[in-house]
Amino acid sequence: MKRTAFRLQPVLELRRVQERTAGVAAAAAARTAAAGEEHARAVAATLGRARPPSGVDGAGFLAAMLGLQTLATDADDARASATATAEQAEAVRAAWTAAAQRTAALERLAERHRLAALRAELAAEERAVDDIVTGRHSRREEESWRD
Amino acid sequence: MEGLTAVQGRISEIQSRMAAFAGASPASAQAWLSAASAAGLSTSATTAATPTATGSVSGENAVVDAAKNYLGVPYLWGGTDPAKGLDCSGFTQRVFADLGISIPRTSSQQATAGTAVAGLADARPGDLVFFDNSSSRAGIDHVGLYLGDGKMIAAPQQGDVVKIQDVGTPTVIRRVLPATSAATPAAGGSGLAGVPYSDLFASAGARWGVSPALLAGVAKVESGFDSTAVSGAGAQGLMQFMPGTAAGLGVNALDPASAVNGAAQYLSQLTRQFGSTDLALAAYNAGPGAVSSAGGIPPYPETQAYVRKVTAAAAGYA
Repeated sequence: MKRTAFRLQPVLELRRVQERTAGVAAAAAARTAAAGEEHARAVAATLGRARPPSGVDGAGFLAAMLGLQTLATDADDARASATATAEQAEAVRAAWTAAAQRTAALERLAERHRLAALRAELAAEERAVDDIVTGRHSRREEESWRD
Repeated sequence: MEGLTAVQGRISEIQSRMAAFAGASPASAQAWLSAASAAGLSTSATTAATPTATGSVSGENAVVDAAKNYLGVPYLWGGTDPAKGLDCSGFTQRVFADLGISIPRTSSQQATAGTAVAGLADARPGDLVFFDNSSSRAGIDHVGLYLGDGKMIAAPQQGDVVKIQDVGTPTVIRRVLPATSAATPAAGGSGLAGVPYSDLFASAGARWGVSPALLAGVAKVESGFDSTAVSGAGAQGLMQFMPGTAAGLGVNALDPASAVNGAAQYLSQLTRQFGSTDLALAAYNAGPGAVSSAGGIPPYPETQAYVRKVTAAAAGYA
């Protein structure tokens, strides 16, 4: 018996591809966020080890202060990048979750369809068996009647 | 962040020391303070990393139009004056400033403004796209404005000019436009341009958090954009509300504005209830009870076809 095709199968396949793509993007975004966080920590640690200028003349003092200011700006930028990439990773992860939910909804429907089709097949088989049994029974009755 | 805090504390300490110079040698102290000010030490060592999008804007097209005003302006590192030149973040800051929206100065700080957008598939014209191009310096170092269709406008690099180019693969995408503007492509947006009632779909979509394209898709499939349509089953109006459902939502089904707003509210509610747009659409067509008892899209050919048609129509308007 030919089983009825699941009409939304192409949509389900598309959803699965979208989910896989979203998963790959989520993994990449998570790696970027982790790298951003690591970099921000590293720059902050460098700043933590920096010392204010002492025992230097005016020009040296200014140069050291400018260096500190640059480091502080770098730390700010690194922290901002880390924040941005972390939020991006969260958004991408949420999109992956949504894609997975869309796939799951269709998979539930596909499973219901499969079970319904299976039940229909079993019912048809039972009917066929009943027909055979009934047919044999009828023939036996006819044969015994002739006896 | 402890290291950063410590350094900022030390910078404050040094500023105090410099201020103390004033008593010993006012002239040299003033010179030092001027130098420190030029180095940025007279203000906070940190720049705001929080979004400061507080202005209003007529929509994403306004951002794109404002950005295109600067096409051809030469790149200038640190530039914020179009008469002299703009760098990438100076350009984007200038564009939003033209529209009354304030964003931070540098690309890495701008990357914390607004809200994150998951990917280019969800990006809208006017979104900021950020890149980590430099191999020598980790972190975000370039920004452009997304135009749609895989293009962006940006001030690329020294020796170049503000121009339109392929967007490539951004590391971060942010939406700075106020939510109501970002969600209203109907106001001249490409997808809903020329679609009947597009303004209603945009405003109701923004109000209830439903895609205007989805609302347009529902209207197309339900009534063919006919606000006077009445089905054989008794569904009425642009969004084909059954009288009982309309009464429950307080909707006048034959009034397009009321019907679109009610449909957006109803779809928002159904999406929350069933967790997906497909199931919400199925419930809109077959009723929430049918979806609940089926545990998915009910096995009615009409409903299954309906979900497909609306999804396809919405994709066409997106």
